[in-house]
Amino acid sequence: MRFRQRLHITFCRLWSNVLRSRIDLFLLRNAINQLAETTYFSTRLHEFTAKILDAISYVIENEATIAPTVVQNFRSTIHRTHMYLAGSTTKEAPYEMEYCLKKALSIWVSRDTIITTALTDGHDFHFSPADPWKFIKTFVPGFATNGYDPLLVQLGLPRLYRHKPIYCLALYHELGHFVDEYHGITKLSMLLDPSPLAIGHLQIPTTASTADKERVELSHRKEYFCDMFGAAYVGSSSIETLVAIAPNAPASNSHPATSDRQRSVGAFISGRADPLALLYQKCLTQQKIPNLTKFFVPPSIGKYFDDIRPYQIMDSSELHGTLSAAWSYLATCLDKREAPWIEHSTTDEEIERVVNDLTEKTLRNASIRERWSNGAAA
Amino acid sequence: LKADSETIRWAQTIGDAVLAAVPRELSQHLNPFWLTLRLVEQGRSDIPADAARHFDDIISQVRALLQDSYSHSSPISPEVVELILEIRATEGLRNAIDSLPKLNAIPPEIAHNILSTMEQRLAFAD
Repeated sequence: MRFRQRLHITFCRLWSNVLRSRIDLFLLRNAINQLAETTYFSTRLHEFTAKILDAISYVIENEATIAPTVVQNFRSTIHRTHMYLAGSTTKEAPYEMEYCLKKALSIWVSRDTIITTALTDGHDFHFSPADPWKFIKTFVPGFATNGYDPLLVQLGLPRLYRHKPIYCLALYHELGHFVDEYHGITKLSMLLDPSPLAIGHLQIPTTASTADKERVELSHRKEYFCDMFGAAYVGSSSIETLVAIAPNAPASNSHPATSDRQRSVGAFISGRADPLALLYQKCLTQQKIPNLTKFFVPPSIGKYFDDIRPYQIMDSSELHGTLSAAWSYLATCLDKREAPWIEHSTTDEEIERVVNDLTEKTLRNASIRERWSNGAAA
Repeated sequence: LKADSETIRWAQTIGDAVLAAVPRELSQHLNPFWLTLRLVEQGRSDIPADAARHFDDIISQVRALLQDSYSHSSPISPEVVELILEIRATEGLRNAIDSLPKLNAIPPEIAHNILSTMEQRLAFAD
């Protein structure tokens, strides 16, 4: 056993002796209780939190009858859930992006989902699940969930972009990671064909083990899959955001080179299926979920945005397409400055703000109209 | 496709140490399998019925798929996929899984051996 591993295990033993699961659960219960008192939670999050608090209380009260390993795992599950909830107490949540992603998510996950958002101070986006109810139903059967089991999905996006939907296009790539993880797509692809389809020309040291090579292959496949996924919702703008952030990034063990990713997305958009894309579609078919295709229609927002008016979205394909169209519109405004509202003195910053605001209002109006018609129909 | 020179130069500089830095961790999907086996290893007689049923079901699906070369018509659970990948990458794991009885008849030492074998692969990267 390696020294660091021994050290880690020793530390964990000492730590768990001092900070016992029971004590940690008390701390977590208090912390979640405080979250529940916030006025910024939605009704659904309040319900979720109340049920989680009931489950924690049940485990604390019945600890003696539950295996210590299960209690430890329960604690980890609740810890993760707390992290997700804690990131969602502010009223800064980007409601419009949540709305778009919830629409996209609905065709990939049949379970009830609750989306929470964590604003990050860095440049990172993420989209990850927490599923405490699956664990509780299986390992804490004494607690009656009464059929309540929504999946908690956390969006993570830079605080800087919370009201900049056009700059949040990367979330569709992250949604791809979520779908991949939830359905096991790229791992299934490794099962069906482990040959080096993704790392292709990456020079792996000859001393690397097969397992090491397969790990790198899997990491690259995940990124290619999510690039295709993002392109299925917002077209080439998804990869253009990557090019804007990391134009010349070379391949690493976790990510393909930006240039290779551009080529892969270009092939997908133009309908040229490479072996990897075909393998993904085979896996999606196997898992009985939709194949990746174009899920968006970019609406003609130009004449509306030129008049500084939001566009009226007709359906969900236009909803996703609005982001793609707005990305192009913004690029054109910045490059050519031809929109009628742009004056000689208008700065790039003002152009960005106007286009992002119009996009945000367009998405918000679609959501409000939907709620209105749902309410009217009820 | 040919790599550009920058990529090749970069690739040539990476070695085993860098490769070993790719994270290896137990996935969320495999956690129920691992936890159930851990309870068997500990000799617990109170393993929840749902956990035991789930474990036996997963093992049964894994065996079936290993025999029919993954030509399966219904969706394959991510947990099954990951367990098969583990089996493929871990020497000795397939024999151990093949000879497993139902969960309630698995001796603690067999559970211990399987967990040790899997954990060796998950050994921390330096």
